[in-house]
Amino acid sequence: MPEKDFVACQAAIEPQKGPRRLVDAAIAGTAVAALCVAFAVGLAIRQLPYFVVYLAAAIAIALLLRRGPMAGIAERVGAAFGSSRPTAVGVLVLALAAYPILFQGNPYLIQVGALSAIYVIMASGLNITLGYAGLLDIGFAVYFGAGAYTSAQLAVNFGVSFWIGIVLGGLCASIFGFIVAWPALRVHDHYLGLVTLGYGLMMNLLARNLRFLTNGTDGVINIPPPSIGAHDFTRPLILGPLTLPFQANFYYLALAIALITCFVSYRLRESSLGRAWEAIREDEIAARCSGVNARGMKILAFSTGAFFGGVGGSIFAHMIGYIGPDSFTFLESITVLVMVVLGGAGNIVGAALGAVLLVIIPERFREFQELRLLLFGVALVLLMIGRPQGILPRRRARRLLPQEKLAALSLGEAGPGRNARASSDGTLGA
Amino acid sequence: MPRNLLWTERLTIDFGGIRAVDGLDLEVRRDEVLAIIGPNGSGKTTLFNLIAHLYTPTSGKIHFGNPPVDLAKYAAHEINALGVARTFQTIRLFPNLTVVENVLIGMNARLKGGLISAVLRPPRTRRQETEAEEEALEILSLFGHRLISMYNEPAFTLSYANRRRLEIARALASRPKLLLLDEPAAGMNPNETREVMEDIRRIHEGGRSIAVIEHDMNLVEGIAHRVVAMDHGVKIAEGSYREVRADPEVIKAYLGSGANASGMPASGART
Repeated sequence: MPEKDFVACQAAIEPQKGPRRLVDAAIAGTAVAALCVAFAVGLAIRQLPYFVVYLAAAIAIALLLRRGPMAGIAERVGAAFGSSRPTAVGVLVLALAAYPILFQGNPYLIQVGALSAIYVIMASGLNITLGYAGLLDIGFAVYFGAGAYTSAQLAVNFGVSFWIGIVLGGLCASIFGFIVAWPALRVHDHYLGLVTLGYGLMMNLLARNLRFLTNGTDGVINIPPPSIGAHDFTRPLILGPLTLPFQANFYYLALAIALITCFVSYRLRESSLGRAWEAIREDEIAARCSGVNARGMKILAFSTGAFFGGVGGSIFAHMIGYIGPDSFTFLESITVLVMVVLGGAGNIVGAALGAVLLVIIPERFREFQELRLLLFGVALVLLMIGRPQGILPRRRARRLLPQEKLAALSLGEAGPGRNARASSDGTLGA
Repeated sequence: MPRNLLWTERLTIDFGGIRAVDGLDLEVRRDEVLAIIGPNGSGKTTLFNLIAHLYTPTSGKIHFGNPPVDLAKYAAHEINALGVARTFQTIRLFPNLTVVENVLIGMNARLKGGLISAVLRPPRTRRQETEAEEEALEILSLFGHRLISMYNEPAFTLSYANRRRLEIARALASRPKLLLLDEPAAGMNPNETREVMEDIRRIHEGGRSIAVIEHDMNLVEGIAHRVVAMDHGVKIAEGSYREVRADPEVIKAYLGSGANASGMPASGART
């Protein structure tokens, strides 16, 4: 393979300046806003036939943008995203914040939004274990359950505030992640999947039978909702002139924590820890020989991922007011797993998108009843054949070459200078 | 200061009924380039895997450094931190990580910081990351533009020779005292092999001891201060390239007992 032109290669990762940057920001912002509007329209359509038309149109546009005549536009937008991520994220956050205001007449949709945010938290957690470190965890519901039971029982029996309960719930879930990490260190790939699967089934059975801890199959009922000062989360949310249904409280709570989770997840990925996790995923032997403490990093990946699972479970318990063994079954583990794989393992936005889609799509297709799971399965199979890396796979950030160092190394002269030297020195062994 | 950087003491490992390394006493001296040769299956790579503690010896010891420590008591990543880095016979890069990220992984043992500093990213962590990137660039510059021009490309996009170079760069990133190279010229053409030879010389001049497993006798002759020949897990000869090449045991190992000295192992070795 010919080596790239050095100068061109450098220019490609030069940061954009001036007007070009503004244009990029505008493009990225508009694109995000357009996607949000399209998404909101999809939610607002009530009649099923129209929705099917909408869905078909969305898929058609997506395909056109990938391969068809509009591919150039997609590329331009993609480049704009690359250089103005903060703008894109800003617009997205604004749109998410506006969501309950837009749908204030439909508390159900706000509730679905809150549920989506909870699953975004959990999918981000599993994304650390599975997407970064490549550890197949099919028992993720365990952490959800651990977090939910911990904060629920603390609140019901000891009157512990939700805000403390959520942290303790996350920490308790971490311990459950830590526990499974030990046997999991000895196995890899699908064997690891089986270990975690067994762990999930086992913990669910324990939750059914350890009555003194979990109330058995009755579960924990009457879990008090969170409150801030005098404001109870079961009362409508009053924001100046606006009065939003009480579900908006939970929506904003879950959204805020989901955003924090995504931020933490992003920072972890871009740190030396994230790099070490990815190295283990790519080649564990090479990682160990390069100084990566694979054991420690795997335990850390399980515990960190589990923490967010626990946080999600904790919010869920206080939102629904009930937690029982049926809330964290094997199916729940599989759902979170599919969210991450479908969205794009390793990519934070991908995992979040997977979570939102997997909450909303089944809700939208309630009319189909039993048929919806079948259709959903078919869609999943097709997607995995056509795009096995997920809807939005990980794109690696381009690092800027350390310019001063580069100049100091005096490699600036054009052409591969090494080649010339090697051949002029060709007396050796010839 | 002892003359030896690393030495093994009756090092032995069994795989089931096979004794892959058999009571081996081998030393790598400070500031030398040691070549380890031998037919396939003679235990060379197994020796590297023992040093890196991917395998645990059945018996025997591996001493390293000053004051010496027994490497068999440390985990693979700790051995890297102690100052032994290696490459692999079959290239083992992190294919989806970029070239610079591959090198940064090599510094992992030195980089400080846990969850909190990863999330809050205090100035200390940012400075550390910048310095690491600068050092990575410096290491990559050892190979001219070849790797720097692919700085942000995933490792799987590299050519075969560049992958071998990147593996060496990653090993150097841990600032090893001892560099173990497992067939660095395997699969390379004569020009590329010459370049590998130059690279190894330059790395050695940078103050590192090197042990290299190699089949290409031109390369061995060109770089090795000492040569150790192995067969069936034991050391059969040791000395300068010329001494080892003339050793009857070595000739027997490569060609069987009926061969004479003129038929030495190498691909195009000069006599």
